[in-house]
Amino acid sequence: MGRRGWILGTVVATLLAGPAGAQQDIGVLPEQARLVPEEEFTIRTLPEPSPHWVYVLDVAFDNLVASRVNIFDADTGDFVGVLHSGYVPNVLLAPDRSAVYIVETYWSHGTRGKREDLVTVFDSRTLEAEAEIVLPKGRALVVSKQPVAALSDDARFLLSFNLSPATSVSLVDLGAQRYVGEIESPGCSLVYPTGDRSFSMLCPDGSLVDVSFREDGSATTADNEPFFDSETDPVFEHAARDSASRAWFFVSYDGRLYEVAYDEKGRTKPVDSWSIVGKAEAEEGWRPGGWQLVGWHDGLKRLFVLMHKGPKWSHKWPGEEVWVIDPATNGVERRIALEEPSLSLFLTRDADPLLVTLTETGVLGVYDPQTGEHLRSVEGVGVTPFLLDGFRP
Amino acid sequence: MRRSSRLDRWVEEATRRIAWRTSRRSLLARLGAVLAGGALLPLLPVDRSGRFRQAHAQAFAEQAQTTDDTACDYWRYCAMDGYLCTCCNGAVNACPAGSEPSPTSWVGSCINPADGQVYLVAYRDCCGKGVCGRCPCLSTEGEMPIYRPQLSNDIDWCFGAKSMVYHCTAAGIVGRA
Amino acid sequence: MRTAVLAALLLSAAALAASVAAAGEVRRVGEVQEDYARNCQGCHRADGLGAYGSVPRIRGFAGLFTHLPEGREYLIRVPGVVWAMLDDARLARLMNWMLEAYSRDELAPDFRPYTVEEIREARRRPLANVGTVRARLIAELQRRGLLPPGEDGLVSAKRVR
Repeated sequence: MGRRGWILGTVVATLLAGPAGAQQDIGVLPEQARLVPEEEFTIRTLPEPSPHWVYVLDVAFDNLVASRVNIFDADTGDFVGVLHSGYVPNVLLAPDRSAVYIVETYWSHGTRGKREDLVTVFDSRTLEAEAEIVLPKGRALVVSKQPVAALSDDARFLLSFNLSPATSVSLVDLGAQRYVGEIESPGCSLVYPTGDRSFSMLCPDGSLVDVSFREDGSATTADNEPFFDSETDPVFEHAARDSASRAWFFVSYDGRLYEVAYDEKGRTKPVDSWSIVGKAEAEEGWRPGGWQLVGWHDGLKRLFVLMHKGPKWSHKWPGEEVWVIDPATNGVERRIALEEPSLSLFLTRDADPLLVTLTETGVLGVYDPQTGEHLRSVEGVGVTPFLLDGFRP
Repeated sequence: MRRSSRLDRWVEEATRRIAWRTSRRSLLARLGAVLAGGALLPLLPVDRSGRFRQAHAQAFAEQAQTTDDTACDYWRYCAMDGYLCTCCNGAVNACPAGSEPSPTSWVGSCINPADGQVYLVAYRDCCGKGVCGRCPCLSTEGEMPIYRPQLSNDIDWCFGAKSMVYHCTAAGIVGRA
Repeated sequence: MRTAVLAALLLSAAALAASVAAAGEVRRVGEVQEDYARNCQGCHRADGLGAYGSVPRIRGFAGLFTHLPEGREYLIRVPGVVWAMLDDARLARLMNWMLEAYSRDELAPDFRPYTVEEIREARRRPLANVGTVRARLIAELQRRGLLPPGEDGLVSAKRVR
């Protein structure tokens, strides 16, 4: 409302009220003042989320306290909606498509004031914040990376990594919508779910620690031998998981692929590894890189990795190609040349999947993952977007 | 028990490689690179042999200058990651007005080409204001994932500050090594 | 941009002279101090005061743990020590120096310096539940009257302004 209109309205209302004692019934409008709007205003509700909707996390590097999640339809390139989020958030999608969980940090006065860390539960169709669960132990403030937070396999619990700089994990019961407690860690980081009540963390020496927890937040940890060389060839934080076998795939700076399988109790089994970069490709300088650089599709049973040509320590360079890898044969099945170098990639989770890539300047590339055909590009999905995700069908 | 010989080997290896560069980290200074329109080009020559960090400090010093502390190749910035406070109206060892130095820091060592001496340098984030956004110095040489937190670039190191919102990074001398 | 370059050119001669002059005045740190600077100082600070609420202070505090057998072991099983990028001998030297330099007055009367073997053995068993063990030790130190109630080394750590 215009300021002048508001003042005028106040004056009119004051005049209409008349002198004290001369009360009028203001509930009944004179006949000639009754305006019937031609159009009612409503609020849109989204349909059931499509598996081809892509949730783009824009960390907004120019103004980190005000990040956002922009939702785009990869089939049409249309804008679907937006969720606003705080400082370096993590975004998790409920497997039943009902909710978007955002793990985020705010200060009461923008960049100052009281800090609050919380899980905000957004309804996936109204995009309204339905619940807020405060994280009293805070959360790791890291430029948003997916394994900083995760859901248990049954989606009852949310696990949020803490770095204070001591490391631990906050456990949130999404069913009861409450913070349960803090699970301690022997200096290991990040969260890789391995079952309904178990997850692993990566330790500084290149080993995984396996953590089992109960609903009350009590937990036990089990150590393992290192499975990669954390000094000369560390694995990237972003990893991909086969939902059927529950194995995690980790990729190293130099392109070594580690398949970490788990038993039913969430204990790591001996690790298989091989290099996805052949001798000829290595000589050309091919190596993995980017941000969210690996993806997996359960139906295709293929791993997708962003690759570029560059020297050692170019692990954050955007990928020029996506290599499609069949872990059953340990072979690179296809190399998809990208329209534009890309930082992150995502495979939609449906039976008719799309490969979606993201550039540093906020352009989505949409490809057929089976043929490599470039289907379309969608521009303007964010200022400094980093991460992609989408619901299961 | 685990981590017996493995840990020993790891420590030995780490000690050797880490000699020049211990704790460094900070926010990824990506925005500047994006705005500059460039790919994330390496700032420095890269050594492919294992002894990266030694080579890095030396290589950095060979190309470093001692006069302009608003440039990424200023000698003290050999383990820098973040927006330079010197470009945000702070100084090489001062936070810009309205921000505060984090009580915590990360320590690296750089060679000053003016005297050939090795100096320990404490890199300290200035906190409590939004990202300054000027003069990003992003060096990924030797950068590790966040399970090696001291060597990762992507962690907000404003631990203990009144507000952990990251603004820029400055570099103060600790002493001569 | 151009202004900055010009200014840099004008200042360069003076700055170079200043830089060289300053170098001579910077004190040289010893080997063990350098190990502290590289492995501990980033969080615990040169003054040993830590960071309020997140990093415990060492100064005037850490030595108290040596009054308890579990506390002596705790100091060398915390992740920061276990994962320090130093070999066992240098780590032992660093721990002994650190306690002497920052917390001599709080050490147990019968404190014996850490041995290399002790460090090696403890590093194989990183604490999985640092917070829980620490809380127990703090409570015990308070019970014995060695720490005032409410003091845990975090609330008294370095507070900015």
